[in-house]
Amino acid sequence: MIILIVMITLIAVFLEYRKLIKKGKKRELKISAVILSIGIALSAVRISGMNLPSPFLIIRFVALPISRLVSMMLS
Amino acid sequence: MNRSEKLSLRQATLWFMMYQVGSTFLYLPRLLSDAAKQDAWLSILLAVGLHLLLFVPLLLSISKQVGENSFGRHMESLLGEKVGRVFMLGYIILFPFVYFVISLRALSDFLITTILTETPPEPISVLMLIAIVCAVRSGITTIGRTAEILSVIIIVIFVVTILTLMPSFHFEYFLPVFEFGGKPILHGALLLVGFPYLESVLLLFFAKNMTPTDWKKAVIRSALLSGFAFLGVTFFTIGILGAGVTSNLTMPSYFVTRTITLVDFIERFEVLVSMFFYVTIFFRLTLFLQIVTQGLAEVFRLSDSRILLLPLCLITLAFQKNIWPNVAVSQEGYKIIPFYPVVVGILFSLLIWSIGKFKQRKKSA
Repeated sequence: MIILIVMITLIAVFLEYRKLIKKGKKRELKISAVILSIGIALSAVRISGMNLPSPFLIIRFVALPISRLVSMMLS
Repeated sequence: MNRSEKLSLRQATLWFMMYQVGSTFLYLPRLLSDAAKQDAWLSILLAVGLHLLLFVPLLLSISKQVGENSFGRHMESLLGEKVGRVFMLGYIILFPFVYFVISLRALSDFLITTILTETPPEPISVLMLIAIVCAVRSGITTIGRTAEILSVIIIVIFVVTILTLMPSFHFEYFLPVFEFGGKPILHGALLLVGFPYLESVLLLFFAKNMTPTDWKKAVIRSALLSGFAFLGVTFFTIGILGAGVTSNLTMPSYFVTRTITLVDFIERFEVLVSMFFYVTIFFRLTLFLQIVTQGLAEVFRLSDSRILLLPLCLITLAFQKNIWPNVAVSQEGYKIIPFYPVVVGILFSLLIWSIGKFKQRKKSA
């Protein structure tokens, strides 16, 4: 499933890149390629079956102490 | 991104309203009745009041400091170019982007537990992402017009659902008022203030697309409208199911519409509610993705932000599965999420507000 999604995204992105190359927008191309390669790397990690860290961990780290404090004070 | 893109007052109000109703709508009655029991409706009034009296003036003051600039440029003028850009990059990844990923997961969680129980989550996310990418590619004005059209459907669904719920309403479920005193009501109010009202700091990103008075009106009106929607749904959920049952259900506002039967013939209103949820979360996701691409384009000095959309979606999809293992765990998550904007909303806006004041004073001295 993920492989298919990555393939289709890649095709769509390269169609967009062709337009950018014609317009000569190098900066956009570079930044987008960096983000795209991060995306491909993360998808590769997922396809290989390893677990990525959850983005929720950062929320948990910041908000759990505040949440505990508030429920302690208000219950 | 075209800088001259404009949002009208009505477009912005409706978009912000649907964004705020977004993912909170399904879980709110449970969170509130868990904290405040049958006084949950008082919590909502208190939360909207707190938001309008305390947080909105702060936002308005910041938007005055931002002036004609875009929000990203304003941060650079406050913190210096390099620090400002790094700070902005971190902020965008930690707040709008994380929320984007989580909201998309909330959508697929909802659909695979209620309607499309045999479907894997990826197709649901991908179909939604395609729609969102199309919307964000077409620009803010198009999203605003879409909000105008779809808000009619939303309002009709809301009114129809409320009207059909009327016959089974029990006023005695709200008694006794103030049974547990003021503290639980304040607790409930803080949950609602954090999720979604403190997220309003993100609306500063749209200040440059509107006139200052329009922006101010849009922020206030959208908060009032979404507060009204929250009040309606919580009032009817508790009035029909009772506070005890509501706090035990995963998605009480969805469940309550399953109880509707008109003359044993008109049933299954819950699909209307899922349509409601689908549309509102579409606008929530669109707002987050719009801010992420717009912000990144400012940080990296790009003239066209649309090229970032597809790579960002790929990253989002990769993170989808691991946010939480299952829906049961997410229920604990929704109790914590309201306190995240205390840092990225209140502390952040207080910080930029005070730096802005300091700089102004220095300039005038």
